[in-house]
Amino acid sequence: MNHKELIASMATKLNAPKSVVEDLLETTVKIFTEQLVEEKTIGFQSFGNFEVRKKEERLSVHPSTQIRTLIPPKLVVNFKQSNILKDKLKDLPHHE
Amino acid sequence: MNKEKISFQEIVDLVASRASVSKRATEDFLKVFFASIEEALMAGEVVKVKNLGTFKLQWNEPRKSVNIQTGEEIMLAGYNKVSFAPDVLLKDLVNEPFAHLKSVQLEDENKEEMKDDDQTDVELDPLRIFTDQATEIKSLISEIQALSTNKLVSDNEEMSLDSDSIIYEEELVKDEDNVVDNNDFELIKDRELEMARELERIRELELAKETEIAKNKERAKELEIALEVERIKALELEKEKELARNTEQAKELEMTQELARIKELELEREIEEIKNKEQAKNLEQAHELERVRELEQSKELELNLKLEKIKELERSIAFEESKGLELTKEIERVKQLEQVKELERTKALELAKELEQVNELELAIRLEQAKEYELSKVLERAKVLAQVKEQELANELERNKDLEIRRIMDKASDLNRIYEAPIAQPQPTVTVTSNAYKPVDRAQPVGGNSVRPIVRNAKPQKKSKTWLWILIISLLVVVGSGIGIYFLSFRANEPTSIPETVIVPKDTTSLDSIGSGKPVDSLQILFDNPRVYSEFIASERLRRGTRLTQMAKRYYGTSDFWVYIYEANMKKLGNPDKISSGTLIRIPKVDPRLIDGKNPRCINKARELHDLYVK
Repeated sequence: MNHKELIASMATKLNAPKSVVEDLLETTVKIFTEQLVEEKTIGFQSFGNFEVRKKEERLSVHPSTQIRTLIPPKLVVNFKQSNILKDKLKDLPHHE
Repeated sequence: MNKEKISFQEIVDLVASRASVSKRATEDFLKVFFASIEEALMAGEVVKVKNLGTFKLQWNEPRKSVNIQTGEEIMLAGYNKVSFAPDVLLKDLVNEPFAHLKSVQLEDENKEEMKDDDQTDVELDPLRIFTDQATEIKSLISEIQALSTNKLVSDNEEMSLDSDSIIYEEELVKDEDNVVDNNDFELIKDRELEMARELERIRELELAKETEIAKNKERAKELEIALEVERIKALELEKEKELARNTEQAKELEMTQELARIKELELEREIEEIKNKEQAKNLEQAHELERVRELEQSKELELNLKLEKIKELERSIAFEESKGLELTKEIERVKQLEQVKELERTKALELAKELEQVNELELAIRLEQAKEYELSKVLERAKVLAQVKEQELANELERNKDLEIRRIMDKASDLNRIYEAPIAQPQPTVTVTSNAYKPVDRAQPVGGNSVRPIVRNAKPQKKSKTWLWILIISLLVVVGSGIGIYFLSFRANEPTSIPETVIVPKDTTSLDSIGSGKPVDSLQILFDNPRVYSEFIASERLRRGTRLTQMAKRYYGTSDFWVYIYEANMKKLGNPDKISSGTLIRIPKVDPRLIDGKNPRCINKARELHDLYVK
């Protein structure tokens, strides 16, 4: 499901025109990014938490070439699903 | 790290104020947003949200674990996890504080070299310093030594002073002695004792002084040592400081070198990226070119196929045209024949009847252009047979005539013998009539007996034994012609061979057309009846590019008969224009009469079916 399909499905559910839904989604995404840039955690009880995690710098060794690389620290957006969502997904049959 | 948490409500407020929409609407919107993502995930789909990221379901396998308290092994159940991969934009924005940092490749060789350099620097400097310090220490020690010698000098001076005083005293004592000599010896002795005492004192003093000097020396040495120690300590401190400075410098150098390397690496990476991009572009272009080429090739193939089809059509058209020309020629010939027949009608009434039949049959022939080839052959055979029969008949007639003549002659001679010459004339007429009747009598029963049973026998065999027909026909013709000849012979006793030859083919054609008329009907029946495919020659798997027409050409000789293959596999194939590769089709065994490529009726029928299915 890509962006357009998502908007279409949401539009049908909300009974709203696609353009309105698209604008709203854009603003939400903007606010999400703003909040995350400020290193704030966004929590949704029914869905999960979006948080920024700091990955410490580390030394990685290439297994075949043995080249050692110093990887600098970085900030990463992490999503952790809520237990509600996890329970919902439990019923899903898994495909191997 | 500022780990503030923002709740759903806060987000709703922010969005509502930003988008100037009511809070309720935004709340609904956000709920629907997450619900629809959830729904799509449940359906096993990947959800992509622009500028935010992708949500994906990930199956975490069940794994073994150990209970920390009891040490028991536990099996953790597998579960589905929503994995979120942030969009590049979001990733970059969030990582902005560390964006300037780049991963550095550390090369072992370089590092070792670096260390060596540092060590040599550090080692060289202290050596220099050490030597400097050593010289300093030497100078200091010399100074100290100089100082200590001065002290010693001063001590000696003191000592000399003391000795001077002693000497002075001694002089004084001597003076006194000189003075006292004159006095008592005892006094001298006392003085001597005093002197001895004084000497002893002096010695003691000297000893004390010596000890003092020694002590002083020791003190000086101690002081020297202390000074030296202090100096050394100071030097050590200095050394340490210098070392620290050196290490700092080295570190700075390292840093600068690292920075330079990082920059170089960045540059290299950029170059590599650019190269990669260029390569990717080139590859894309190459791919596009390949695609275009493929398309062109496929188009060319299609065009070729179309051209082939067109050629086939042209060929078939040419074939039809040639056929049409042949038909017209044949029609002309038939007309000529008709004219000949009309001429012949005037010659004989009986022949006229036959001619009418012939005409009718010839009309049928016009319709049945298919059998013309065979007919011509049959005609030739019939002609040959007829000629043979004619000859035979002529021979027989001649023999009969001879016999009759002999008989007549015998009879005449008998009569002559009995009645003499005058009675001889009327008798030949009688004999002629009898001659005329006798062969007829002979011929009729022969014809009657031979023809009918053969006809009965021939009916079930029909086409397969057309030669039988030909025989019968020829016999009939012979009989008919015999009768005709005998009828004609009343007028003129000439064996009319030319009309016979003309009649013979007509008769054969007429009868032959009747014979071939029946299979035509059966063909029509074949056409009309629904075809049942129970036997199959082969089975083939359709590949890309295979066509039913090609198969038909291979198996039946003519591509037009593909319709029969299609009929047999109609359920599997569906639309004949869109046959899907990979389906297994069976090539049916079709009645050979249906797939006679030389018979235009068969081809026409196939084309009718083609129109039916392709529509």
